[in-house]
Amino acid sequence: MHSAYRHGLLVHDTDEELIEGTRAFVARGLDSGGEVLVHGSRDRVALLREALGTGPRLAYGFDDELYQAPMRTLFSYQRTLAERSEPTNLWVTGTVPLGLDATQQAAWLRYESAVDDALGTYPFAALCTYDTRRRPASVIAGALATHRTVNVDLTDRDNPQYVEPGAFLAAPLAQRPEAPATQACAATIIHDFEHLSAGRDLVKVGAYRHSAVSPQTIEQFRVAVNEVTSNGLLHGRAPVRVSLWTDVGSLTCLVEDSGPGLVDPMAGYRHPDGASSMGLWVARQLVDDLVIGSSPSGGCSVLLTVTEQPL
Amino acid sequence: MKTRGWRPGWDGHVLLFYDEESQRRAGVATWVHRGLTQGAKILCTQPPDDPPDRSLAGLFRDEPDVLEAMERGQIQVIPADPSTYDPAFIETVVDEALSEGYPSVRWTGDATTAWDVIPRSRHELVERATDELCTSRPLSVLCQYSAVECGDAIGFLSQSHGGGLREQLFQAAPVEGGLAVAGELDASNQQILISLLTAATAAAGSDPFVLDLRCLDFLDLPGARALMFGTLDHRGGGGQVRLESPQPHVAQLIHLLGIDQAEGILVGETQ
Repeated sequence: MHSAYRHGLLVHDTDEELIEGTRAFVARGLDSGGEVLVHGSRDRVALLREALGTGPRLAYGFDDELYQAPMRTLFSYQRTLAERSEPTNLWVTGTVPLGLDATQQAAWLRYESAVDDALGTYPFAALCTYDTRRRPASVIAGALATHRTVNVDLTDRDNPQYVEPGAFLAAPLAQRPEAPATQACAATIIHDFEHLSAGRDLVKVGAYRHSAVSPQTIEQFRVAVNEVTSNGLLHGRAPVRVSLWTDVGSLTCLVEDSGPGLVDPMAGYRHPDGASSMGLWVARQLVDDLVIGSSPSGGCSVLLTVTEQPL
Repeated sequence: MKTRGWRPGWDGHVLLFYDEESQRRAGVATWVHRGLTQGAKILCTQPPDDPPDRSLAGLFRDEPDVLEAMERGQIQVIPADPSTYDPAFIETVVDEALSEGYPSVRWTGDATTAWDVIPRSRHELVERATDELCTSRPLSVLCQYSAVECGDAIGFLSQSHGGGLREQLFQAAPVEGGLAVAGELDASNQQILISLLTAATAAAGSDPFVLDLRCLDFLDLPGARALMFGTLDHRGGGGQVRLESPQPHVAQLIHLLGIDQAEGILVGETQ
């Protein structure tokens, strides 16, 4: 973990608390010489901009541009931080958009939980603001479980309700995606690298035939499935089973190896440094969700999903 | 030399690189059917003692139209003999077929058949002469190479096959200023790709070396690593490699892996 990294939470129920908490965070960020980003919905950003003003190294951003999909947002921050030639601290504060329904809210909570793994090695400081007037109790509970510190009276304090990411993913609040209970529309067994293409061919045929997902998304999904299958052969044990479910606007694929393997549910979030798995890191960036678990045969199971909103 | 934008086909001087007999049979069958559609004269060099299941007649035993073409001489078997691997002999046979009124000629054979009757070094010379002949005549030659038999030599061999190389998942051909790759690159063919690129970049006289990716449908991490390893010598010597016109999902992987930022790599169209 980088010494300057922090992922804190401010739970508030008035605009004044939000403004004062944000003002203090922005001041600390600017005083440290860092770059500061304040983001949120358009009305929230207008409120904060009026209160805090503008200045060098202080930027404002809108959630409808920066926070469209959890994993895209997470890896966008990671890329920004990883590609910096100068080690400038990045301070970010705002409300994670949290989605329109319970499923999307849970996806954003899983994002919050993964921030430590994805961004913890960078000089990244975040203060996530949650408004109890606008968010359901379950979201506030999820926020409390996914931030290492809470901001009380403008001071960061250790959060006793924090849950390690792997454990959070198993908790009901995370609503961890599961494979559909229905029979897969197609499945195949991969025994070796020579026949790796069978898994991605299965996705190609099934997706083009039974869904309206765009070719670009299908091709990205194929790469992700291929990498996960390859990982199963490399780190687990053959055979690897690949199962596909399709819907008009979504693809779901379950890849199960025959183990034994060390199942780390957070693998693939950290930027690869030679030691960690680059395949999973790439795969995570090509799908909406990639959930790692255990397969019935004692190996590793990976569930990949991608959903396209209708135009 | 093909221009960029090359799409894999079954004409010209084609190298069929196979791991399994089923791949060889499928490739030969496609190539023969294309020849019949064109009304071409089709010749096949095979050993006199070829087992029935490997012979051309065995391959097409359930296809009456092909067997009928063999009976009337449109498809003809040439028994392997040192004299049949003489470029002058090949030229004469091709010209005779053309003078009989066939619009084009196709010829195929397995490299191991040649190596049983002539040294490999001589066969290489025949391959080069054949490549010339394929550009001066309406001729397609399908050379069958077993992966087990030729190994790393595939990189060098591909240089003498202007019609390109066909492997189970991907195809490649020398093009103006570089190499075009099409199909799918993954862990199963990364070693072949490294051999191809190493030979192609060594043979290329141009810089940047162009890797035409227009028809590359799939690339995974081992495939991407092979692109880097295979061009390492060229880039290490100060040369550049241009990854030209990748499809969007291929370009995205190249970007995610940081290949577009690597020393000596350019991505995009030639200016």
